[in-house]
Amino acid sequence: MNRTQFMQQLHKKLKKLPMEEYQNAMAYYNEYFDDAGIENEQQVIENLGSPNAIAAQILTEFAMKDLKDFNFQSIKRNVSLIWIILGATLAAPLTLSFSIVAISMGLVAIILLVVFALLAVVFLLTGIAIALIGLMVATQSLATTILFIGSGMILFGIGILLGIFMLFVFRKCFAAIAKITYRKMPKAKGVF
Amino acid sequence: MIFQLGTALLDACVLSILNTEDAYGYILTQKVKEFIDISESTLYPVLRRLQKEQCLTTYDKLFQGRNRKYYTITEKGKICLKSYQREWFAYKEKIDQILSGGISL
Repeated sequence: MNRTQFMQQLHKKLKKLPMEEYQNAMAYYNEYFDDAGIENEQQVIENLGSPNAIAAQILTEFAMKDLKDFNFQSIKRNVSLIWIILGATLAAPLTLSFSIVAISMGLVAIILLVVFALLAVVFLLTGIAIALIGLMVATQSLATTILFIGSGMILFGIGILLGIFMLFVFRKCFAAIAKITYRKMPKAKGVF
Repeated sequence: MIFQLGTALLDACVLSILNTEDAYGYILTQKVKEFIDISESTLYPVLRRLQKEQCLTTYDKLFQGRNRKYYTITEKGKICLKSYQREWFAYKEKIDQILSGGISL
């Protein structure tokens, strides 16, 4: 390997560095060869070793220096972020009474949801059951069958309506709670 | 060379030499090599680091039609050097004590 090849290889590995770093390194080694003199060129190359190794060392040193600063900064920033979020959450002016109201409203919503869900299911199942019974007596009395199927379908329909109504009420309830909570937490608004 | 010259010691040696006289990369390396067996590539990272820490600055001098970058020690570099010297002499004394032998338990 001669000087040109050496510097070419060094250039290849170092060109990804920022301009200043790259120029600094290339200038140093070009000058080094110049100062050593042509008569010493081969010895210097032998002693320098692999240009890849030298490049790796320079890149590592550069990355380490950045990493040192970056790490410290990013850790500090993350920790501060955590404190800010915690602080914002805790500082939200939830008075005791307000929180009781909010919680109880939530509970009511849940209870309503459960009740309506059960009712809806009851109606649905009953509707199906009656329709089926109606089918069973089809051989004996067609009129009865039609009556029963009809009633069954009505009940089924009520069940579906109840289900839809329940979902509607539930969603409105939650939206109301959310709006009140949001209004009472100006700090939260600031965060977002 | 049994004992390794660590980064701190290298920094200290370079600062000490530059405290006496400004130097360019090649001649500095040759000087250090008179005392310690280092690779020709050892000093570049050292010089770069010291420069970034502002213990050194550089200037260019024309020599035989080409540029030569000289390194020179700064005020901060001199303070660093003093600190290194204190550390080293304290450290050396401790090692001397242990290695001289005759330490009873």
